[in-house]
Amino acid sequence: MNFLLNISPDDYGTKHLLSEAGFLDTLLFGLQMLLIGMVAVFAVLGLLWFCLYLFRILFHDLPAKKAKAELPEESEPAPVALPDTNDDEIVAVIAAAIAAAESENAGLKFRVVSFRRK
Amino acid sequence: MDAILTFLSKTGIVALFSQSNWWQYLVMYVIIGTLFYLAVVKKFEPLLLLPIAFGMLLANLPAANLMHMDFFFDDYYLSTTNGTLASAVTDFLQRIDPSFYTIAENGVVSFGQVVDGSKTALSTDVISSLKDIFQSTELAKSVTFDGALHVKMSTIIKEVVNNGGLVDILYLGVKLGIYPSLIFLGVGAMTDFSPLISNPKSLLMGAGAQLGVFAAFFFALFLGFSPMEAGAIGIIGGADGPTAILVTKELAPHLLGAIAIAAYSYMALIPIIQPPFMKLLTTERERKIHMSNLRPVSKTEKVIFPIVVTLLVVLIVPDAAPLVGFLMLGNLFNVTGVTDRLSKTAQNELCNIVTIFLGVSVGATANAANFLKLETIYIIGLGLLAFCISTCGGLLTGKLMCKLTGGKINPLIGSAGVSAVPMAARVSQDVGRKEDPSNFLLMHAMGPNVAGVIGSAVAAGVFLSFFH
Repeated sequence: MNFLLNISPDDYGTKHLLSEAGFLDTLLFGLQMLLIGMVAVFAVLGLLWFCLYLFRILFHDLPAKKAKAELPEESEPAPVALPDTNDDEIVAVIAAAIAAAESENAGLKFRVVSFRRK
Repeated sequence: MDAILTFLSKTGIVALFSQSNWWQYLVMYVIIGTLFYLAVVKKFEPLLLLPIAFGMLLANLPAANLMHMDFFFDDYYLSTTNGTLASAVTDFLQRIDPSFYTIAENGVVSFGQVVDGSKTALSTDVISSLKDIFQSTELAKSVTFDGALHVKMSTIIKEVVNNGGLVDILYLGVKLGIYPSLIFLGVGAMTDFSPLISNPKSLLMGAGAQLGVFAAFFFALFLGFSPMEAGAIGIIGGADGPTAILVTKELAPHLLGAIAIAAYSYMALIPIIQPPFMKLLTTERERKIHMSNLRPVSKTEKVIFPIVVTLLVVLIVPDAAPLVGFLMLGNLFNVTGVTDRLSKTAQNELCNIVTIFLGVSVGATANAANFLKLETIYIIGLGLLAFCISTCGGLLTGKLMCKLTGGKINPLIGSAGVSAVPMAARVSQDVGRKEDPSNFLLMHAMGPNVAGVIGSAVAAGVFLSFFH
């Protein structure tokens, strides 16, 4: 596995590689490991990136395109005239909805911060 | 009176002060006290530091005999002066040419031939002929020979079962590589990979943040560590405790205590270590970048992801299988929705039980004799260096990606590539919010963060495939 130098696998457990193999060989060995290690990590995670790119196409973009194609063509929505409803009525309806939700979910409390008409 | 004196002579206090290195034990108690303080008062990774510190305490109580680290080293068994296999080793050596081996002062045998004043490894022909002789000896039952002598695991287990203490038995889970994988099972069950699936570019930041692993390896070689030891030290930069433990128990078990303590301490110190580098390597404008919302991830993607990762990573780096395989199995338990009970067990009970065993047994490897060495200070320094370089590697990769995407990526999330889930991602979020309180980077940072877990497992696999 050592492309650049003569460090035998038997020396991997050797305590004083520096004194046995010399400064240059140790330097080259360290750089070689750094290079091989980083290339290996980038290669594996890069391949994973490619797989996830395929995920996006297969499981996100294609189904979205298909769903869009199946939808009937949207026509310009006609402007809807909002009925002139009494605000008190709306407040009553919202209050009833909150009371119903609170009774269904014991412990939950709601507070209306704001509401606006569309 | 004699009974009282006999009792007193057997106390740990007498055993402590009758040793020549008694002062080392006192220094260890100070270190252990500091670790207790960090875990309990400062709340630095208390779930691990507390059992580790207590394991250290147990290992440094003279006469308690809870842990015998020697049992787990080949040298202990094979030493021709005091090992349990000493006579069998001597018998084998008497049958072969004396020029093929040397015996050190402590009785440890090393094989090799001295040619022109320098020692070289035995040729394959010589090893083959020595193997034939070796196979005919009693030693072959307990030891394997491939140019060096290695004690068979069955021999170690027999020794531990017959003569070991409680912590020796717990340590078998580390020695056999069981605990790190089981912790990864729990981590996988707790991890949500959606941010990574949604933004796969973040994988590159997870890769860039492994720079510290290999840089620390490089520097360790120049501090006199062997390549195997340097690999174990370098993996501290992966900021992943179980990975560091798995690699160290394979490559340099005698350094396990120091490496585990350094790894977990620095993981706890990430909020202090990372921010200065994050500010140094990024501009104010970059830190204020808002990232667009992540796309929703379907259940199908979540289920297929762990299977694809396992196939891909393990087929390329088989030595990463114990970590990546169990990480992804745990994740699969969680995302399928049909194994809730298994997922909950992996996340809670199993993970907690294994954490206790792992912490105590790893802490117990740090006894006064092998912890209080200059090597430990080097390891702590190199660990810090590894963390710093990994942080910079992730940030620089993030910066590059920011440039390449025309400013769509906030480089702060790059530092989260060092693993240490979810602490590093929280640091990215905190630093980002300090610049702009309306900026929420947490989910974006989780992408490189979980990519870092996979990246450090791959880096570990690289070291194991080279040196193991």
